[in-house]
Amino acid sequence: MDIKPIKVNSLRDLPEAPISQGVTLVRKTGTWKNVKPIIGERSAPCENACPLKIRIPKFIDYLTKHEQDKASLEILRWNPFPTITGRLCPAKCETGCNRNKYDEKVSIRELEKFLGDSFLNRKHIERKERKAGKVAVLGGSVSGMAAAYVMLSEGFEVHLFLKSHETFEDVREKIPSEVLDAEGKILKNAGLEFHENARFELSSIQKEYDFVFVSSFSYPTMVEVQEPKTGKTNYEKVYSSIEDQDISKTIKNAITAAYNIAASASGTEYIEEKLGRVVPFKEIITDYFNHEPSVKEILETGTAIQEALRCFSCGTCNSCGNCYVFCPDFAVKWVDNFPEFDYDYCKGCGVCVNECPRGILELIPEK
Amino acid sequence: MSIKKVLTGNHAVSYGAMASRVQVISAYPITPQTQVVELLSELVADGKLDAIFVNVESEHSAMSACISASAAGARAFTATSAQGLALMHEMLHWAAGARLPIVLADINRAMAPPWTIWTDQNDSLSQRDTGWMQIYVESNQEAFDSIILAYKVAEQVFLPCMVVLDAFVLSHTSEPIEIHDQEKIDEYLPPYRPMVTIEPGKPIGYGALAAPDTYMEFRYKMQRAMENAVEIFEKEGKLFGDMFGHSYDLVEPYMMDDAEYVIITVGAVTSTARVAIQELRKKGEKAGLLKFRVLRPFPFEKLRELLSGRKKVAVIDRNISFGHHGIFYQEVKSALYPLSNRPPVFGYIAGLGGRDITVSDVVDIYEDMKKRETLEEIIWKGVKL
Repeated sequence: MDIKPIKVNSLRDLPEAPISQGVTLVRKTGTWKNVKPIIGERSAPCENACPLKIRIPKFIDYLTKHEQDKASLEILRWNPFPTITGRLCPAKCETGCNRNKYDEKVSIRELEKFLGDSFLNRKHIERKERKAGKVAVLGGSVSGMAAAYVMLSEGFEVHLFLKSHETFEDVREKIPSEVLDAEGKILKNAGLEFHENARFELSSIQKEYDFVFVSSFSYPTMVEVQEPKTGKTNYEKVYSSIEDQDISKTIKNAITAAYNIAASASGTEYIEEKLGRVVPFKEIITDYFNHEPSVKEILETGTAIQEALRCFSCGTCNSCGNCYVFCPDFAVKWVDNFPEFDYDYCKGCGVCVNECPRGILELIPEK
Repeated sequence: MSIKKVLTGNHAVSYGAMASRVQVISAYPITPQTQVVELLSELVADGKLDAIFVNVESEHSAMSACISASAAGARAFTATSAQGLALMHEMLHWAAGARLPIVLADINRAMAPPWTIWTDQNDSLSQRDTGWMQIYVESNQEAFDSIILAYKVAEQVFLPCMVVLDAFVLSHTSEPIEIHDQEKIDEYLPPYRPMVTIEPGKPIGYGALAAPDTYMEFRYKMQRAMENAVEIFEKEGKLFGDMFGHSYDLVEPYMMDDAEYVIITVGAVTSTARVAIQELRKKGEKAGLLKFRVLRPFPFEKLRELLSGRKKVAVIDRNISFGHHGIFYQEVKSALYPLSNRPPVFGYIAGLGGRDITVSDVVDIYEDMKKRETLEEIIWKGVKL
């Protein structure tokens, strides 16, 4: 932009009110700053406490924005069976929830169950378009089914060998069978080949399949896990996982083995996405939240959203817009419902950082 | 259709703001003004007035919010009293200097200490030189009408305007008010069209630095705007009369045609003085009354026209400029100075801090003025010596 000097010879050269004659955008006031706000890599205590590392504030954010299907899909990215964990997991997320220090935890497990159940008739496994290979899953316990689920989505041809005809045998007594049958059907629809009442030798299976996953619930003595982090066993290309009292850890171990199989098949290494630094309670600006009791039982969308709105959304931007509203220099832009900084005009005052209720923004030195 | 309501002066102001379709109200409560904004906040909350009510922590912020709103193109309103108005002082200069037609209702309350909540004019007169126009009203009806009129004038000359009324005498006293037909008010007062609008996408600097080579020109323009406002007050006051049945001027004569001795009053005392003048007339006195309504812009011509050739003039000041004398007294004298046949003017200080000024007080002042031979700088009425 050109800066033209204004020469005042008479009153006529001046406006009636003291208003600049040009647009003030020519002055890049952002050059004044010595610190700048950034969107930090942060996370919530709940998602860190969760063995499956489900991005809890993220799915809750979708729910509050009335995008219920996206919320369910967000859970399924990390956990194949919210219908199971939503009923059986010890809900460490809720123990960690920052809201405990304010009034009452958010009923995260109840939300998860609701989102798992309500999505069940629309759930299907999105399969990667590739020929990853042929795998056998031995045993239809939760860990076997979870490994099968992941390997189907990774593009493998998956064969499931069952002792009898029953799947999810370790949780049958605790979960309504129509839920488990529906889950089984979803895997079948995705292409899972069932071999019921199967009798086999591991060595012959090994020959026929590229990789094998053994459910250590169904076949506790068949193999021995040697590397718990990858699921590798004492047999070449045979993986397994450790069973845990915490069902979500059981699932986590199984899907980690499955991802390691997928990585091994494509000659890469499986690296888990890491969560950012935890936002502690003291970083939450509680002035922005009302005291409200939690909803204990969630059976429909209305109460689900009501409970979701209680979430502090620690460390995850939920488009509250405070930074945008409070910025005195219009240097926070609102792009696709999220903030973006215009560093040309941000003076680094830090008001946005102070007013972010959920500890996402931080000030870093300007280089 | 117009309707009649029995309203206090404060509520008359609130209804005046509503009738003016104000869009942003920002205010901080202070006795005796509180009811003005209390009612407005209710009207906004009930959806009867389509405006944003901005709660603030001080009068300084209230005026700041009004300034921003007005610059952004909204019709802005606030109300305050005494210490609150004093706290606004810096931003009053800002509003006027930025040429923003904000309207403020000041419920005249004497300044503390000693602590007081009762009326006198020192709060508003302390803001005389901020560049705000000032209207002093006599009745609740006039308070209602003057809010509308204030916007009408302010938005033409781009200067803010204060509507000033007496604490308690008007603010907390009920009178029947005619609420004019809203359609006609809308016709009289069209929507506010700002001089320029500010918008985030196309930022401009408002009130930025003016070096010595330009500052004075902006002040000259403000003075010219004030001077133009005299004529606009006259024109709009007449038009108001044509449309609503009661016209307004900057100064208004009462029984002045053949008056030899004139009393000048400001605000609610005028009503009292009307009764005194009627009594004096019954006794055969050639007494007249001049109601001083608009202090800024200053009605030089009107004052000279109405006062030249009179025998004597008395000004009743419910205020004092310490070390000098009553402020309206100074102002009247300065207007008359160029006249060769100017009458002697006597200044009376009365009714400070809400002390009553009665009909007999006004009659006393009249008689005192009549028999005085020499001019005195300051005459106190009713002080316990």
